[in-house]
Amino acid sequence: MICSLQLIRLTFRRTLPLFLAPIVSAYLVLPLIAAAGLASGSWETALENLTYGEQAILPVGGLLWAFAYLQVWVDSDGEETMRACRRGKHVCAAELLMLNIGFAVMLLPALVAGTLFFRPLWTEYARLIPQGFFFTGLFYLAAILLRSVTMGGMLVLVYHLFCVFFCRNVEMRGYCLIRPDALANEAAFPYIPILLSGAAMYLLGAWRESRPVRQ
Amino acid sequence: MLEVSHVEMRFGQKKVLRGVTLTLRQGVYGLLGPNGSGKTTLMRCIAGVYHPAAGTIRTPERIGYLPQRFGMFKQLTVYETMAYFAALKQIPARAQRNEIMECLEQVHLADRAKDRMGALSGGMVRRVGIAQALLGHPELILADEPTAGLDPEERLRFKNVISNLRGGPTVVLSTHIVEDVESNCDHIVLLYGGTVLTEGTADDLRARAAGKVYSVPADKRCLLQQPYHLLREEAETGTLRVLSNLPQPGNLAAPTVEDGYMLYIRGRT
Repeated sequence: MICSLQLIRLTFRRTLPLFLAPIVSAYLVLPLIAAAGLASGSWETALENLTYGEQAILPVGGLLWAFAYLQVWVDSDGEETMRACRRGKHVCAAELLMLNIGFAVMLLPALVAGTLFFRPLWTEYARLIPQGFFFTGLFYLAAILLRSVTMGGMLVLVYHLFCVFFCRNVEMRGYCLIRPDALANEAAFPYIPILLSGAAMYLLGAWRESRPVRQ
Repeated sequence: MLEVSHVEMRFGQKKVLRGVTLTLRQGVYGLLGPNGSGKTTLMRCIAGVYHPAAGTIRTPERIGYLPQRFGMFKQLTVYETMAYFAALKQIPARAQRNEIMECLEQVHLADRAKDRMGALSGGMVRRVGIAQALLGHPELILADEPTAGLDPEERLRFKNVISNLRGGPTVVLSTHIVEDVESNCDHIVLLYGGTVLTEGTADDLRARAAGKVYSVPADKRCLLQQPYHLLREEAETGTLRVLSNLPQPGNLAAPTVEDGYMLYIRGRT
């Protein structure tokens, strides 16, 4: 556990921009989006803007942490040395899960601020957690299978953009896990299926990663 | 002790290791072979990076591994890079500092601990690679092409580091540079085409070539009897160094490890 935290800390020490990007998104970009709504309209517009921004930015923003961590293990020159240190038995799932939890904790002050300023935002927050879990699981599995974090990241990004652009399309809406246009209390959100599919992808990714390279 | 038994490995249709069997005890071993002979694949199998298609590998619990490419973490300092590997090797946090500095001392980089990796020369990065392999008091150290890209001074330093390890862990150096093996290793394992051609000491290899190496004046080239293998032309002395089972014009020369190596390799090609 302590060693995993140390690995995460040193990973972020070398990829500081990726670590800061989600924090800047949550504490600078989103308030600016909400402020723009307030300036141009009403509280409702501001809240709508905030929800849209939060759904469009944060799930992918949180993925940057997983990207930074997994990149070292999948794509870097040092991958071979690192895997040898653990005799080819290391899996990154535990650290990625810790990053998921860290991301949720990081968002808590933003949630409290949003709740004080607008209205209780627990449902939005509760929606972000399984989304982040799902996307990290998808990214992890894709990166391990494709042996490339870039390809894995692109896959998730393409799906995310699909959701952002097609969430208003009636036919496509059913395929969108992220619905930036819907306030949480207006849309039934499939928490359990998302959590379960996220967990399944985590497990599959960990299983695949634990398998040594066999040609 | 390292035991490799009937290890096979293939990449697609190509068989890279063909039933490699080795038993290595304490000492410094040189894994020698031409490019493509399977040295790196064997090292990766031993390190646990690859899983062999067949056979078994028994290694000690603690191993240190320096791969061919060790170029990571440009943004981190030397100390932080070492701390990263210490965490990976699950060295307790309270013991890390002493151990890291001890390993950096061994490769004469303790005074560069606060420097960024990106600011180091290629040779220094290589030494950091060696230092991380020494972390955790390994019983087996694997170094793949450890002197590749090092200048003569750095090679000498590396030789000293290896000398200091004598009597400690089993060390396996993989290289295609015969001089490195000759100067650093107590034992030589000759690998070719994914199989072990021979094992022995440098003297064994020299002995194998005894009576088969000739120094032939260049102007007598036309008198050479086939088959022979031209090892090199020595411009300073105006002679040719020739390897042959047949008597050749000129004088018999004192064999080197390289001559023995060439004799084995040429026997296979």
